[in-house]
Amino acid sequence: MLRKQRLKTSLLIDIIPGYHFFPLLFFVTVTLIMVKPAWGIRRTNVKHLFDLTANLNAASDVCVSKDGRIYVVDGLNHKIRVFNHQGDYISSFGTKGSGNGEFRFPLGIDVDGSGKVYIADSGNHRVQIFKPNGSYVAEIKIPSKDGNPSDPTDVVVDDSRNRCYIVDNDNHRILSYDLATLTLIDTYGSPGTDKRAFRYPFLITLNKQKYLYIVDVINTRVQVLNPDGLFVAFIGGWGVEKGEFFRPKGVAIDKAGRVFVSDSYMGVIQIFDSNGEFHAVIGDPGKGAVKKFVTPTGLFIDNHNRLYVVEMLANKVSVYHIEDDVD
Amino acid sequence: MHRNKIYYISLVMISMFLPGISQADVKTPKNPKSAKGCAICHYRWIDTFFIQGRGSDLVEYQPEKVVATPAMCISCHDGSVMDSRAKLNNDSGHKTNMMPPDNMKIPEIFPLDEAGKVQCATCHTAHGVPSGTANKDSIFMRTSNTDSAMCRMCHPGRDGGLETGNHPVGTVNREIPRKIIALGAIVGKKKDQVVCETCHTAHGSPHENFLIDSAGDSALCLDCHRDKEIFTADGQRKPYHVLNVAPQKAKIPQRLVKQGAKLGFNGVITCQTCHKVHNNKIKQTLLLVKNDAKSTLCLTCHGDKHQMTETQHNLMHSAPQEKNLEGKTAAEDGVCSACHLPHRAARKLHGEKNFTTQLCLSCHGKENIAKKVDAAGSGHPLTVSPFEKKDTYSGLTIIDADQEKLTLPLFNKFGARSKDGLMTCSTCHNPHGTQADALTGKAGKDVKADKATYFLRGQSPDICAECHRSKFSIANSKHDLAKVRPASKNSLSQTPSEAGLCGNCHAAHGGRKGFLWARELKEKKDGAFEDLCVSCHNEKGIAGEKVIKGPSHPVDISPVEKGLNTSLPLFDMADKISKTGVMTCRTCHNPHRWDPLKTVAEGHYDIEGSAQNSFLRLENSHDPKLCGNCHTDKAYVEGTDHDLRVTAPFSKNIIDQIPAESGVCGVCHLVHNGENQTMLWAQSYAGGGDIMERMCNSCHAEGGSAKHKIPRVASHPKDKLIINAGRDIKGRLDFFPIFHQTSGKLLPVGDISCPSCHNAHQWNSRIPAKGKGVNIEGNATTSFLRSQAMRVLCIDCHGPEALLKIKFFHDPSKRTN
Repeated sequence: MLRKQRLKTSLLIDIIPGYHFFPLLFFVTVTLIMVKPAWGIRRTNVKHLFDLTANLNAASDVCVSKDGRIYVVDGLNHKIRVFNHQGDYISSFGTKGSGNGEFRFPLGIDVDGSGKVYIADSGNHRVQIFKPNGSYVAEIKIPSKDGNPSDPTDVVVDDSRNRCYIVDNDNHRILSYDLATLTLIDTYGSPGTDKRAFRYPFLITLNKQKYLYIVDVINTRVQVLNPDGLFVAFIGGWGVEKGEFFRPKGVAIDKAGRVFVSDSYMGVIQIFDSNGEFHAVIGDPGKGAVKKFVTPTGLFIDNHNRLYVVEMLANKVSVYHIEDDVD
Repeated sequence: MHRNKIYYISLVMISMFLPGISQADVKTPKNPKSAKGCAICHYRWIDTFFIQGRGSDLVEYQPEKVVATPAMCISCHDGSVMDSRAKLNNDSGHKTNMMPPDNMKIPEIFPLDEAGKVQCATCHTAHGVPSGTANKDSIFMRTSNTDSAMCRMCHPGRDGGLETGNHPVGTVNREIPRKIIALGAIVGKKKDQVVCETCHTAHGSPHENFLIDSAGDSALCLDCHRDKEIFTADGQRKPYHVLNVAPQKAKIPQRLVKQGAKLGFNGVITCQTCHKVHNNKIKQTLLLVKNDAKSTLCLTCHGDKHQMTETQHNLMHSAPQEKNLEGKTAAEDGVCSACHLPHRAARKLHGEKNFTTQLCLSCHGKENIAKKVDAAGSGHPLTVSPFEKKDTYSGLTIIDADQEKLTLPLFNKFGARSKDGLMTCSTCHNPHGTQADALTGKAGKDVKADKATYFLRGQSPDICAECHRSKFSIANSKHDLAKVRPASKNSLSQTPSEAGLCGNCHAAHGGRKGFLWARELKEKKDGAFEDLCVSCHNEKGIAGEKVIKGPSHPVDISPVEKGLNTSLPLFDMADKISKTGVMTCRTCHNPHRWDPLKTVAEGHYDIEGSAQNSFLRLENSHDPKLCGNCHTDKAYVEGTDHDLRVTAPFSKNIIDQIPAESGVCGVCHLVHNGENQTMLWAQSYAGGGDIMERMCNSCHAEGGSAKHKIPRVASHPKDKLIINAGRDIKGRLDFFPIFHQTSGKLLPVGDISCPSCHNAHQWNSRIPAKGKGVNIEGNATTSFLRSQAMRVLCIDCHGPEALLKIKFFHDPSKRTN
């Protein structure tokens, strides 16, 4: 019996050509699976231009006006810092407080086509509007929901519809306001994991068609709604693989419609194509590897194809030029 | 073949174990669960790491647990879920990622990480505690922190209140202020219950030792202990121990620092300099860093005050029965406590002066224990800056203190020394005494004070010179009474040797009227006092040989009212310098300086003066600067034919002075003690018509100094009742004055005399300037003639030809009726 088995084995080795290479092939395959090489992912390289610092303390968001003024939300200093296009510090406005022009732990920012600046003044439960020089214009008081105070974490302006969308983080909803009257138009979303539901929506941006791209932090996805609040798509999902998020925070869209999403814990910025499919990850051309950021949070892409990355715990905004893809 | 099989089987087995070898240190959890709900924090449990045991294209393989590290916590607490940035990123909060001290026992309920370090998870857990997540005190805490119970578990040595040498905890008899509640302070379950978190917050404080408010400037302590604040709500300084000021003369000894004394920001005194609020082993009652029996704590830092114990200011010697507001004598409560208690007034204070002065007056005032040294009268100004010269417009400089050179202390609003501060009693006096004030065995004996004692910081007059140095040119002059009247006494019955150079005339305490006058003053009928100078310069005074008797320059008149401008000092009714005041002796005289042009150091008390010195504020010879300061238009006489230094240098006035001695003005006018009231004329009146002509003829007559300038016809016919209405206004071109025959006063109707046509002080009416200093011949446009206007008064009677007649007024051949 034992002899028969040995014979079978011997015949198998003899009959199947190359059979004796199977173990070696298996070894190589397993090794490749276990030790994932970095060259397995497409990278979009960026070229570092400069950093914005100016004593920032836990900055969270950044935006750039048409005329190139860079506004940074300096949350723990309760200020908005202003830089010119070359990255030189110009001025700041705001101080801690709850009066006009004062802030309590502001988080998000946007600037409209006329240069007016919109600040999500989270601790004061409002959005404040300023002229480009920092002089106060108006405020939008965000109402509580069921006794739960509002927590506006970001705002984005749709000039074409003369409205703005405000993210109410703690109440897991998006509010649409008319900018002519500063009155509430509509509310989108509820707590949960389904479509049009959120678990701690945070930062927001619009694409060319003015669709809303909302970072849904605990649902670990970017949710896309149309201007009327109808569900369009999810981008990304839970995990640490490409196309997945652990702590998504910031979102920005370039001219080509590519969606950039930062992940503050993994320290990476992933890029999705206009269909929401994973496209690439920001790469470090010097290292030939995935580029690591320190708690990347707010993102912005300007008309010069510059990528602005708020690195919250590094207390800076790093500015890059977006280069070509590398496979 | 067999060897081959062994080879293949070995290869397969090695391949199968490969992952296990590469991550040999990975331990499989007993109940692995990689669902997102857990892995949202338990990063290690993500399938990629935990199930597949590998990294991804984006991140490295995560072999260790990372849950509840600061990086994981901030990934949600950055505002994207909760905003705890201020707590996690902006404070001196509870330390993490560090080993607990060796002497700290961490209860097992609080897990340390694998390295034995404190992490967020040591205190926090996302999985709830027995008390339930509904309780906000226990959400995400490993146990309930009600009344700071958790804090006490690791820090029992900070608990227990005063009995264990710690700040009281539990219910207190004062309201916990809203301010610190707003800052994040937590009060216990009971009303006004102090717990650890009333002063400390584990997260979110920007202050040291994660305090709710800073202790480095005593803010936290004062938040509750408002009664220890050293200022009232309206900014008045209270007589409490100073706070938030760096020690200057006081020195905090190292031994006190070792016992727990702390200085605050920039080395300032804070509450914690004297009080140690935790683990105090020294004096638990008040948490003091050192036992303060009988002022020993005070004198530990204030060693420079020890001298006081040997002076009259030690009430154990001078007032042993006197009690402070705590009802204790100096013997009972300590030598310092007679005047100072750290957090309340030791004596009753009155008035609005600075608290230092009030404190001095609490003994040195009416009905107080030291009233006997409280002289009646005015005192030196207090609460003023010696650098603010408010009298710079005038020639009188009272204060000339130099900020860089001043050694006397000034005090700021804290009562601390400051170069920019103000004067208090303590500027000149050191209430804690010097060696000169020591009783040295004479305890209880009343020592007579003199210029060397008084607890002064320096002896008189040196101490006065700190701010009034310019006055010291008085030394060795006729006003240095030690030289000229050594036996005289001031109003305090002090001789010059006792009073000192300044004290002869000025008393810092007990002076009278203005300038702290220390000599007798006579009250006049109108209630005002005679000028200070008259104290001595009267017939019975010590300067009786230098008194004002005869016709003299008027005083008590206002130059401003007479249209005169002057930079000389004028004085108001309170004897304060005033631009609109009246003249006094001191308007023209500087009693502290003999010669206005130079400081004379050597003895000059026995020489006779002239128009160059005589304590004049400005020289009056050679140039008439003093007179010209008010009489500007009269000073044009200088250098003209009427300046007798030019035309008659050896002529003399009635007091036998040649022009060089009398000065230009003194040739014709005597300021003091002349013989003639009209114009204070300094020459003998000559013959002639009216008084004005007689004055001119003093010189313009045979035998006079102007004997070569005698008009053949000098006078206009008299009794013509000439009216100069409309032409009696000084300064106008047609000014044509008419004078009273005997008094020389201006009249509207009268006779023409010499000065009707001539202005004796101005050579050329069109050129208001002094002369050239040479004797020149005049003509019809100069010759001291007044302006020859078309409306000259003469045409009223003589018609237009009068203009021609004027030219030949003194020519008899041209005269007509």
